[in-house]
Amino acid sequence: MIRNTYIVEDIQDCIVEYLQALQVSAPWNRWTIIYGYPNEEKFNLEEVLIYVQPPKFQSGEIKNQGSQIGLGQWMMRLGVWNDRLAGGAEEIGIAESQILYSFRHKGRMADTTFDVTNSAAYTGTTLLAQGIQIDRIEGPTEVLKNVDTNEFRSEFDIFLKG
Amino acid sequence: MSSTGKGGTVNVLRWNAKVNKLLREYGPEVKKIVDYGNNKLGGNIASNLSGGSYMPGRLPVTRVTGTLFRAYQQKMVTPYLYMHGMDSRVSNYAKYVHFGTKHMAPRPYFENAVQYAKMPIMHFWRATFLNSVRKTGRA
Repeated sequence: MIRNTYIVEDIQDCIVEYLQALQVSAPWNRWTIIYGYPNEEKFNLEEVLIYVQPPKFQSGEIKNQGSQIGLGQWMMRLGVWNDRLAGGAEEIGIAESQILYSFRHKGRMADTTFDVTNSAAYTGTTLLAQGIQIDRIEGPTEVLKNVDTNEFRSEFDIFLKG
Repeated sequence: MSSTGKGGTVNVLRWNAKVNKLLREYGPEVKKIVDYGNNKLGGNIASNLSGGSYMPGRLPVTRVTGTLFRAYQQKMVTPYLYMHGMDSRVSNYAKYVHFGTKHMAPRPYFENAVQYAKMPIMHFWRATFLNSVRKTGRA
């Protein structure tokens, strides 16, 4: 199980592979999924760009009257970016709703299988089999709204159970 | 004072005394916690904005002319509420540094500061607030 070793890149790998496994059919096959923040060379606004940033371990909230102090969780940021010529507001709306669906619907996470290679090679595995449980997803947040009217960008925060 | 329920009379005299005593204790303690949190957050943001060497996409943000640092403002709204923000009249690019653009990766100096201030504030909260509850003792 990947989560047991707490290797940050491995968790990112699993999420990216999970999303890439969805690319067998429309609308996911229209989009590009990349690791990390898109740098200038990779930047391609001809289609929707989904970027998955590495997770951070952070302190959670106090629950049960201060008993569980320092409750930890993983936080991942996932962004969607496109411009007017690549479908504009409508296309980014589809992407946002698909991301919400993919991380809120437990059945989809349980059924989607992917291959991932880290210290060992796993074939036909799922997120749950790798110990990655999505606690919740927050978003979409429109980032730098009204700066460039031709560009659309929004971000999600995904919280994984630590 | 007592309240009559279905099962009989419940004496809440001691409960009221306890609540009044707690309210007297809370005011200064909460102010102490808010001030501590404000200082902690302000310090974190300031240190995130005053980096030395040039590291694109990483914190702290390099301080070259100091304009971004000068844009950082904090304001007391009420004694229990502080606002931290960047003045867009001083540096209009503060948001681009924080959220990133096509040409540069984000350097979230605020978000990072909040993340690292959370834990010390929790510990301070635990130390002061819960002690103040204990200090009131039995009513």
